Amino acid sequence: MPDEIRISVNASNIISEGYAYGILRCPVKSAVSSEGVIGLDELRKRVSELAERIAREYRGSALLEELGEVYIMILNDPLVWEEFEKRALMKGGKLSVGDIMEVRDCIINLLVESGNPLIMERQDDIRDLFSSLLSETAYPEIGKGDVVYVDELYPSDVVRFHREGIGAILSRKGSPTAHASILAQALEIPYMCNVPPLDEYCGMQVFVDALHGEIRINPANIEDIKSLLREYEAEKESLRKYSGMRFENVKVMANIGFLAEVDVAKKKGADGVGLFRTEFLFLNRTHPPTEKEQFLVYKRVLEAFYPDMVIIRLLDVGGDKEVPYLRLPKESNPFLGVRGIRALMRNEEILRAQLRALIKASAYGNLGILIPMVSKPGEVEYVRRLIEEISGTVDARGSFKVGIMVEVPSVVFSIEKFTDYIDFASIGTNDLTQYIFAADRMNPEVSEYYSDEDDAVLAAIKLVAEKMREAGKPVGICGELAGKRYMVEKLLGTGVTSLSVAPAKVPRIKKAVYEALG
Amino acid sequence: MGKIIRRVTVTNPEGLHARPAGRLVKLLSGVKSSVTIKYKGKEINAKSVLSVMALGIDPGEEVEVIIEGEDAEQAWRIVEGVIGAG
Repeated sequence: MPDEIRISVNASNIISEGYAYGILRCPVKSAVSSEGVIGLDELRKRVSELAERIAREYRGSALLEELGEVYIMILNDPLVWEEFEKRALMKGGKLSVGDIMEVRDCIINLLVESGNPLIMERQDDIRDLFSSLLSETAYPEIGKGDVVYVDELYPSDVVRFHREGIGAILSRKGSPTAHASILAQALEIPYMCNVPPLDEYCGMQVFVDALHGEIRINPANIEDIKSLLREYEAEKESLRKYSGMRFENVKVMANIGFLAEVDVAKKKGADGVGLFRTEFLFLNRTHPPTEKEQFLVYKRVLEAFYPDMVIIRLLDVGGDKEVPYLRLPKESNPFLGVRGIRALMRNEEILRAQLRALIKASAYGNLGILIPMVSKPGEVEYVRRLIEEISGTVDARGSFKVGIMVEVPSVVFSIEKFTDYIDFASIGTNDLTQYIFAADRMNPEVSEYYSDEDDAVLAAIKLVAEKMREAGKPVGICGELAGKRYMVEKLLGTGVTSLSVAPAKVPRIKKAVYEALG
Repeated sequence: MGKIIRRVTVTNPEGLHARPAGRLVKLLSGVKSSVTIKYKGKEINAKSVLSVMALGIDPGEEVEVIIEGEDAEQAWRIVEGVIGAG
């Protein structure tokens, strides 16, 4: 029996949660033959066959059907056919594989030139469609329960894997906003991306833990794993009834990082949004989003959850991110440097536009504005002053709350200095833990020092929760810790009034709350 | 023959990215009029999902729409419905 190998995967790369145990398969797509030519009529026939297949296979969920429709539209797009016809005309009505690939690249170019990262990402769909057009991609060796490892995951792969009944997907590349990722979530296939190379383990037994972020090759305790899987599946069935539950003194809210997650969070029964990260609006672009763009996005989320609260965090970046339009110093230690509110104070025009968009959007729901990386009361006073000034110039606005992230130890130990200036607080246990233990959570060398379940972190939470209770103001937890169900009872014991977790975790955490309140 | 030229602000919070672009093209496939979108000096056929996507229009942006044909009014209502959907 070969030794067990454990590979950990950063939590940010868990796209779709779950467990799986099976054989690791590394399918290779059949290469596209570069020989042969094809007439326009034959191409039309292939396209309509492919369109029919898509219409047949992309069924069962609104998302899937909508995606299938877009694919069929792309296959029939006048732009694509103009390019095909142009080339066919020059070559006596016949197209080579090279010609077809040229058309593909021409379309991809068009999307890349848009300069919009979300549109650029759609080139995956184009590659996917053209390779389906040119080759019969078959994965003969894949079967029910297998764990599939691919270099890059395409939407059509997800659909196919779903039909084969595979257990989990692992991919070398990927991003949470890719279509493939959204599909894996919708179809509830456990999926982790950006995993290390696994080629040498193909064909071996593997246990995928897409809850905590671990891959175990040749797992040792197979019986334990099997019972874990059985429990998990049984529980999944029983979870639905917990989604709709509401508790008097504690809310289970969702952490959201982009618009597509709104529907999932609603479906899973979140009692509002405890943390709406706004970084997706600002990263990977050369200019900041306009106030109008931000307003429309905030409005959408607020309306979707009304009358529940939506806590929107102001832009939280530091020197570790490359944002060309922000003045950020080059620092040797960006996590102890200019980030969060510190960065916003140096880029006041960005902060002003974001606050204006938020204040305008406040007319459409129950808004909480959350200030990140606060370490001194002066920072809150500063934001309050700006808000007051901007509010005077916005006619249609609702009421809203202002709160702070508690993630710097200085705030924990002097929270009473803040309570007069804030309406609520949200404890960010990920950063708080790394600052308490002086251990970078991305650095595997010090991972043994980073423990958010430690009594030191719990004591900090308790301290903050007590002072907030005395002040009569709500306090929530929005780090990974809030999503650990075996910690829920302890966390509720500290007196916090909300737990905010990844949308998929809402039902499980509600169940844990229900059991803890007994 | 009707002709409509109007400026409209994209208030769909997803902008005119893949999903709304798909919805627009799907609905427009039922009308006879030609529909052109002008944005940042580019002029594209609104019945081509790729062309619409490639404009990469974010929410809050303003575009010009030119519609020509017998059912121009109907086409305009579709465009307004998708682009302006809140």
